[in-house]
Amino acid sequence: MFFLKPYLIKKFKFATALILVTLVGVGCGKVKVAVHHETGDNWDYPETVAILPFSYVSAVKENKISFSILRDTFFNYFSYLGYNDMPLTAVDLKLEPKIKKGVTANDIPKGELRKVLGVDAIIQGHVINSTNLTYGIYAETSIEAKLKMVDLRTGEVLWDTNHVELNTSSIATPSLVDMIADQAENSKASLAYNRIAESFSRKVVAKIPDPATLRYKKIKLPHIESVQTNIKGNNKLKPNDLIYVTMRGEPSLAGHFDIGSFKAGILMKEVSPGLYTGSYRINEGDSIDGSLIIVSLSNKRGLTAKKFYKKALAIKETLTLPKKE
Amino acid sequence: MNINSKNSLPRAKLPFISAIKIVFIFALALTSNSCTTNLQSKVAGNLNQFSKQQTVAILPVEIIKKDQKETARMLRQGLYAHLKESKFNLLERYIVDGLLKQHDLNDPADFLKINPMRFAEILGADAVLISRINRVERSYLVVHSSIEVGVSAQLVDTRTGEILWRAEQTEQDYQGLAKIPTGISSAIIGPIQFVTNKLNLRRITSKLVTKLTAIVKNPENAKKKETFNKPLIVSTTTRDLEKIKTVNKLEAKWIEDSAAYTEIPHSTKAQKSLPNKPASIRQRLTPEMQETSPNINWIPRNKSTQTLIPEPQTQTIEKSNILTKTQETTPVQASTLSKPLQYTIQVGAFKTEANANQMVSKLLKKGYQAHVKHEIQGGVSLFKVHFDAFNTKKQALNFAEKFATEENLSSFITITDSN
Repeated sequence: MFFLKPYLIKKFKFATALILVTLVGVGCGKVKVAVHHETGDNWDYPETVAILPFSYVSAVKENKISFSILRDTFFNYFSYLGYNDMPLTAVDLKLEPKIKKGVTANDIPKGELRKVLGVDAIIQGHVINSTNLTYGIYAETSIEAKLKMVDLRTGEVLWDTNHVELNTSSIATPSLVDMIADQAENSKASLAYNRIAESFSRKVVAKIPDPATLRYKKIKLPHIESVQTNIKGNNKLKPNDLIYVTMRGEPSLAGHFDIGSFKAGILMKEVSPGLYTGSYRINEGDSIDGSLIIVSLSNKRGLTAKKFYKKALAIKETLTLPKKE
Repeated sequence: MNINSKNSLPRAKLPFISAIKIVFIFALALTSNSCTTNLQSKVAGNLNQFSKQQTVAILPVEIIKKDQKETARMLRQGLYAHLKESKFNLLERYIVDGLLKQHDLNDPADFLKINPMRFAEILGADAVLISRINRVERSYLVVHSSIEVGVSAQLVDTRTGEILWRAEQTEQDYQGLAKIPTGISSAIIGPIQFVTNKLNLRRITSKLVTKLTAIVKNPENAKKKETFNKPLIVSTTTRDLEKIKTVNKLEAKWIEDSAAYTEIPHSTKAQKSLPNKPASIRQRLTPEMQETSPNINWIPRNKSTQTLIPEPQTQTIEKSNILTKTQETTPVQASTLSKPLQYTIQVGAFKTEANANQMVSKLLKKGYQAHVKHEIQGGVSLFKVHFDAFNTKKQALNFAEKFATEENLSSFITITDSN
């Protein structure tokens, strides 16, 4: 056993340790989402979802940085799926009166959450552990968190996961350049957390049931029947001229019109059921050169229909100064 | 040898040499850029006007090869995730896909051929993001492997056709000797592991999207060289806007030229049937006329037109109020009564012969025996478009009504002599 010299044994141990570290790192990257209710043909699968503020283990200092990063990033990736996700600011604003000292969003009863948020389901998150270390040749960033989606209508948990996302860089990294680059990147904690939160979210979202295809046929934009304006083909607009627009469409919705991209969101009033009118007075400084009038009609779900008035372009008369002789 | 030579150096110099070596390695590491990016990106000033009131739809990504599907999905997901932080609102992916499916727009390769205005009406979006995977290449050469992803993207304002952002980017990363392997096994296994691990493609795509979308998230930070000098309008919109302008001009001309005539509205029957006719029938004559004719507001006779000598043979018919009838009692006509009279249908009167000829050629193509008749009335030169001749007024009336219904055009009946 001449080859088992002490320095060789040392090298062998070191190599084994590196392999193990690498394997552990890889192992942590795999995500397991326990899906309790698949979308299948379930037309009643939750449509509107709110992601509640994540809670965290306060004993871990790093969690105070990572918990909000994870929530924001998860929301961004989750929006790719076939749910109507409530903007985070809207969620926070609605929950603000309910969250007092010692009361977190997770403590609010489900029935009350449904009433306050008006959504079919919620996603709750709890950050257990976060690390961001840079020790010479070894760097590590990780987030461990539990996530679950709860149907507020039934109280059922639709899916849940407990996942650790780990990113390490050490002597096991195949190249020196990558190792240095990883160390440099890892030293900026918020950036490192952003990256790890991204890979965490991407992996979890890939395993979450996506009801997108169930909804394809149900999507229906509001109906706009017709649009009329007082703009005539060859007439150029002058300051103080009034562009008058009428739209006929589905009643009791919100209407507005745009003049190309020059002026957007000019409100239209519903003067009688399904008949919307609005106007815009041309100002001296307006520069409108061949813009189409576009009417929009939006419903409460945020779906908007648009229609162009294609019979005339809005063109403002431009005054040309006489040339000096 | 090395050990010997090392030993021959003074002990004090050893740490210094080691330090130089480390600095050299660091410098080498930093100079050899681990991940190369080639990004060309420009925005339009109008992108700054976008707010949460404006909605952007990220359309499915076009791919050139079938094996780029996964990268396309990653790119689109990345675009959604990153642009969620932008100043505008994003239309949910499932809504975009559902509406495109409903309109049979399933091939992303067609999106650039479609006028963005159509996307506005289909999706209700203020802008659309059209993107394409140009290349996904993995290469392996024993001790060197690389992954390259190339994409292009274009954000277009659907209301104006203006390109708000256009970018082309190639992101490349590699593993090989240039990156200074940490060992012999790393030098050999590293490139294999790099090119086969799916995570690396994800990582590169993620980096690509981060860099790609940075300017769209904060367009106000764009430098001058990253901003378009003048507004760029996509060709499909330019073409359609030109069409509208031409129609407007024709309409104005039509109104102007027709001012000399009495108003002859469509029959009630014709009016009722027109909207129900398929577009193909309505467009049979010319698309321009289809746009203008149903809404022509015949301008009332003004002073200048009143001075024109009215056509002696026409006046409003008493029954249908659609067409005109022959005035049989005027002295002018009395002189022509001795000749055999014929009735003809007049569909237009133009100040320029070219416009009249244009209409005639279109009518001829459709099989109508059309011709131009030049007349000077009150010193004004007019080119009238007539077609077909009928022996009886009833025949002319019947045909005129049929013509109005099918072609969506107003017409008169006038008398013409058989000569």
